[in-house]
Amino acid sequence: MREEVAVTGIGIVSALGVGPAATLAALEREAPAFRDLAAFDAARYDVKRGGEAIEPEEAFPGLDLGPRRADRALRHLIGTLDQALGDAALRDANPYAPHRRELLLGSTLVAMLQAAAFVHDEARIGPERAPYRQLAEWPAEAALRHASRRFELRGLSLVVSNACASGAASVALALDRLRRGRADVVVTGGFDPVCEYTHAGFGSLLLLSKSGCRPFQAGREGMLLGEGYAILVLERLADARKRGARVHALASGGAVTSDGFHLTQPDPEGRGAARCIAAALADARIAPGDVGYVNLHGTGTVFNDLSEYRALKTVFGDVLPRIPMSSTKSYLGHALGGAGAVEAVISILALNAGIAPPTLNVGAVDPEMTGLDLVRGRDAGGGGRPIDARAVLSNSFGFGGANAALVFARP
Amino acid sequence: MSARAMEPAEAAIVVTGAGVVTAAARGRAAFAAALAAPAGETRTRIEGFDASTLPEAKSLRRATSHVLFGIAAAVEALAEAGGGMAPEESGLLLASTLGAAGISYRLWQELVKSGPLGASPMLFSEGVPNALAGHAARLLRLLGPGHMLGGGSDAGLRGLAVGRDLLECGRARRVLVGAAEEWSEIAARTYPRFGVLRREGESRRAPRGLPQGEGAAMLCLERRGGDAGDATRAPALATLRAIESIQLDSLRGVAAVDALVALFERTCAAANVKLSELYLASAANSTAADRLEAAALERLAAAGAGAPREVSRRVRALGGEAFSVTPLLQVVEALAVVAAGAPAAVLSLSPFAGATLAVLSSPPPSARNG
Repeated sequence: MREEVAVTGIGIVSALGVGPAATLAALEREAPAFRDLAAFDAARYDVKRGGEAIEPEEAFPGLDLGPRRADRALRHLIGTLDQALGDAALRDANPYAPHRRELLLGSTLVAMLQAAAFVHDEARIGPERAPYRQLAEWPAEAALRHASRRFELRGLSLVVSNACASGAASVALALDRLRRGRADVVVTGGFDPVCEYTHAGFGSLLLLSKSGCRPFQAGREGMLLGEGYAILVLERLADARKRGARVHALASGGAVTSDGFHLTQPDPEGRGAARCIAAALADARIAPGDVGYVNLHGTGTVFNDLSEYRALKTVFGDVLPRIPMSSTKSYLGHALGGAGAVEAVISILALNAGIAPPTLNVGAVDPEMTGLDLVRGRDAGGGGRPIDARAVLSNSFGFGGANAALVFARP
Repeated sequence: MSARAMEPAEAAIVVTGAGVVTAAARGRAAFAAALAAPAGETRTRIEGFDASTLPEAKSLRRATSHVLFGIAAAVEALAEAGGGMAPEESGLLLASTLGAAGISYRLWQELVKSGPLGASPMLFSEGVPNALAGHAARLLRLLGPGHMLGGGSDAGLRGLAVGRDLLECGRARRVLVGAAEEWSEIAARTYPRFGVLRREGESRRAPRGLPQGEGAAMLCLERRGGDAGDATRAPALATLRAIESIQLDSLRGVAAVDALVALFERTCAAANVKLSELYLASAANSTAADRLEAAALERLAAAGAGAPREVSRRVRALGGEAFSVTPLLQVVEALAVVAAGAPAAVLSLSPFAGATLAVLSSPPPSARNG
């Protein structure tokens, strides 16, 4: 019999706030968290807003956030890991052998902010005097080593870089590690900061919106970027119960697939995404009709939303209109490699609170997407929808045709 | 809580194909021959690589070198593993330590210089960290689970551990595990300062670091025998008997030696082999790694475990330090040893203190096929 996997710890930081309670409260307020970006000189860009979190030192006052030279992303990551392991009651005393504690994190940028600092310094003072120590920390492994050392996670550690599906993909891999008995606890999730590199890059591809993020709306223009750090502590349910841990939810299914279509465009028919969603439901051993809420990838770009809609239609068929769905990127932006993990946490919060958070900023749904029950906010005469869900689904898709889907269920 | 015993798996995880692109040799057989030849000059840079024979080569005209090397090695590995696999049942786990660092650095420089006007959609698209995985999935029709792994110079080797999980959990029937790296000017400027690479043009007797290499290594993994069914009829080249990764604080100190000794003990026990039976493809990439490996092997010998029957440093001597690729080239080296009937182990010690040990041996009769 397959072992069930439990979520016993959660940590989250985004523009919505610090911690699960603040995140849920912000969702209930239906207040988008976009502001003029301060992380870089965004005034030079057409799109100046994004979903920026508060500074790490404000988010985690008094906490040692790692080495002095650590960048903002790593400091937020350390804080979020601390929060999640504390929530799981595994921070101060961990009963599992150190080499059986693993760390699987999704990120696209990892230590890119350090590279940014280097390039700015190099331009200012020249390549001979540039601080190469900053670049030495560029490889993903540097971040892993800091986190592993700090929290005594001595087993396998990896960064999964599946573009915007990274955070969810890392959780899917973690499921397998636990089911196969390779590890006793896997600390997983994803993170990415706001960064000029991605802001400029997505801007150059005309994927950012000047009018705001309006997922699935007719005439939508694109996305806004945000930052997000979300960590889930996973253990086998039997082990969690044995040590008396609180179980937030079961991580009951996950899947990852590739489109094999294009480096930066989704398959317009959503075939890879449909296979992924179907595989995640099969992995969770539930039928489409058992899903009580879907947290959509829902970036607000023309092609992504259409592709996701077609994938959902393929998988859910006739039951599609009965399942409430929303995109919470309309609150905090697209956190790239962190998005899948942030939205996994939001899905668990929705499951436990019994409320599907609405999509903000959307009036009329794109007429091409008939049959989609997009929960809309009070700004469109709606509001958070009460749900009695047995299971919830979270979708993530990214460049490179990367797809990931996760299912969480009540314990 | 005690460590959970692994479920006894009736089926074996086997290697059914391998592909190699290096400066010294292209192809698994040529690479094995180059390793077996008397030691010569280290060859690090791939000159005159012909990408025109790659599938849909036109669509790769803007791709970076590591993508081209990776696709070429993958084509070879998949050809050896044979056809007949549904795209949806074929996964990929690819790694790159540096990836497209060169174009990311260039794009950053443009942004610093010109702001938004410096943003190039072409550079940004090809600079995404999973560009190699995206191109490989599209060109080679690998539409099952696909991951790009980071995490340092043993991320490719760690991919074997994750690939084994994908196969055992039934998520794929074949997984392409590999890594690709291209020579990076910014790495060449940075890493010699920290002893990870040798400065360009420095003598071979320089005390620290290796010259920077480049290339790709790809392996096809399948699950064979037991209840697995036979994914293909290609002969199995080796069985992955055991693999484990740990994270050390550093490559120095008694604690690191203790942890590495324990890694050897656990991995040999899981593989059911004695250390003294093993050919060991050594990590040996820096002074610190050399010393740590030697100290751990000394400790194991003193404890009665014996010593590996041979310790090889041939891969890096042949091609320098190609980060995530090198440990997988060591696996290709191990395949040649296994073909001769002996078990082999691959050790990787990364500059950021990750340690991975894998043990391979001849496939059991039920898993051989071919």
